Amino acid sequence: MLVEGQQSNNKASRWKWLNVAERRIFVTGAAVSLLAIIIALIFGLLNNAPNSIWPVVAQFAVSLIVLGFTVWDYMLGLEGRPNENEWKRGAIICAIIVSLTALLTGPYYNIMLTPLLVGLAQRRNDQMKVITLGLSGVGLVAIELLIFYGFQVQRFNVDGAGTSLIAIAALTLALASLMRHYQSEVLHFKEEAANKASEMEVAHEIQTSLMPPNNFTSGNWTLSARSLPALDVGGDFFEYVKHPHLDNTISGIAIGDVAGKGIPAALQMAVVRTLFRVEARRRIFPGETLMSVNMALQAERSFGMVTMLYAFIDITSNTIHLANAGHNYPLVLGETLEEIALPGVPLGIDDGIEYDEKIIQLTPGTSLIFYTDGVPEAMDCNGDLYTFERFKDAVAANKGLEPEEMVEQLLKEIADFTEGAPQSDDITLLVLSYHPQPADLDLPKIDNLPEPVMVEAGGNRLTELMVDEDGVNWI
Amino acid sequence: MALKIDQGNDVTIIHIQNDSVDAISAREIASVGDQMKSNTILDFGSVMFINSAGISALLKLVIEARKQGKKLYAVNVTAHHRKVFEMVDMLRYMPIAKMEDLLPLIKA
Repeated sequence: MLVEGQQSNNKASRWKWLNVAERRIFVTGAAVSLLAIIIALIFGLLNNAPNSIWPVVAQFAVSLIVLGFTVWDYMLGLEGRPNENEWKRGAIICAIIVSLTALLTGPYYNIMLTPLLVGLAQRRNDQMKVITLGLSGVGLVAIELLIFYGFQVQRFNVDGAGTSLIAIAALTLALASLMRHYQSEVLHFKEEAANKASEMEVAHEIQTSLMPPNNFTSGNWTLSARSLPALDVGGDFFEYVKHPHLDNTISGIAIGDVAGKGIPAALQMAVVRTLFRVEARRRIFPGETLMSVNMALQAERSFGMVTMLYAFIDITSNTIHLANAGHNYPLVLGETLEEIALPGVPLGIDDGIEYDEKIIQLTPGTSLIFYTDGVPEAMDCNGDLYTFERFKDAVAANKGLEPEEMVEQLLKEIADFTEGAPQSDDITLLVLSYHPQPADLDLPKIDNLPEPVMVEAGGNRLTELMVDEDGVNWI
Repeated sequence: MALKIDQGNDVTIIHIQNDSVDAISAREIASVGDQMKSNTILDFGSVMFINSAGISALLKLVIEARKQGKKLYAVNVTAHHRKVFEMVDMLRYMPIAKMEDLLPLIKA
């Protein structure tokens, strides 16, 4: 709600701005006009032509009004930008004043019509109106000159020098006002851009702070991830699922990509991450988890698809259980490089989609590489894509690196390929390595874990499920 | 976006003439959904780029068409987009075919 104090401040700031930038022009224009009036009056009196005094006074009075209209944004409306009706009303009044003056005094004053109409039109911030009304004003003056001079019906011998001076002053003021208007627009846009940049910076910091740590070690598992949004905020994300009973132990990894970029994608991503966190804590099977997230997302007002890959880590058997909702296939880098083909419809497309699972048995030293589509679709200056093949070659060439080093190296190779071309999509990379440690090292304490129970897993291949005292299934 | 639509007895061929498919152009494809006959061929011959919003809109269209009992085929798909279509399971609803293999369907 706008309180009185705020209104006063707004008015004060307007007047302050007017005083600083326009007062000199306005006062100078008015002073010139007054001086011209005095000179015209003196000439009129010296020439003993009292009949010509009052029309001249009328002319210069009108000129002051015209000057006022031309320079003063607030004449037609307190908000600085009049609405359509105010503009029309002002235009009609001015046209009548100028026309009556022209009838009384001759055509000289109608030269005012042009800057007046231009000045009025610019208030509407409409360049076409500026041009058409300006040309109309010039046309009207030309017609009147023809009528008055062509048919020799000039009624009064007015002071041509004085009117010309005022016309020039009015035109100058119209141009100054026009420039001020656009300068004001530029300042406004600059201020708006600065505010947006500042807001986006804050949004970027918030989003970054909500992401899990880039590097994490959990027992036999080491992982490293980086997410580079194309804009300040993005729709890519990665998530670690913490084990409900073991401190500092992860039991799952998810990577996802919301269609689109920027703020809309970031907001959608926040919704999906929340849904995923809830569902991942409620169930164990990755396929079921994705199915539940998809159904929950369908219930929300979804704006587009989300691809997501969920890898459940079975720390008891060192296996990875994968389910995929349309995300890029993960790569497994062991002795050789293998791509795990696991198609699936992305989340948010259709309800009732079921997701297959795949289980990977890992050998020591194996790494899994997860990535979003911004990687193969990174573009160089010629519009060529980085491609899946190039990425797989780069992964294979960097075998043996620790996850953090591998992520850095892969990102560097992508950057080398794009050669400074603008990033077209969010890029996210996650590398998970399995390095079993000697049994006497600090392994997770599993004494307090509930006893595993065998359950029917339906079409899924997982056969073990942990059930706590509340009957809740935990990862 | 320029869509060129050829209608046969029992087949519709939609030639996508843009070089990219995004949300806007995919919506345009969806808007001609009622013109799709029981067999519809989507020609991606001119398409170089499909962004995620385009994939999303295409998937919705394809799944909806299949629910209505229509058969869809994609032709002239680049290797990159073939892989993307495979990952999002689009091939289950809209297999990729060669135009010459679909000629009997077109001539019928």
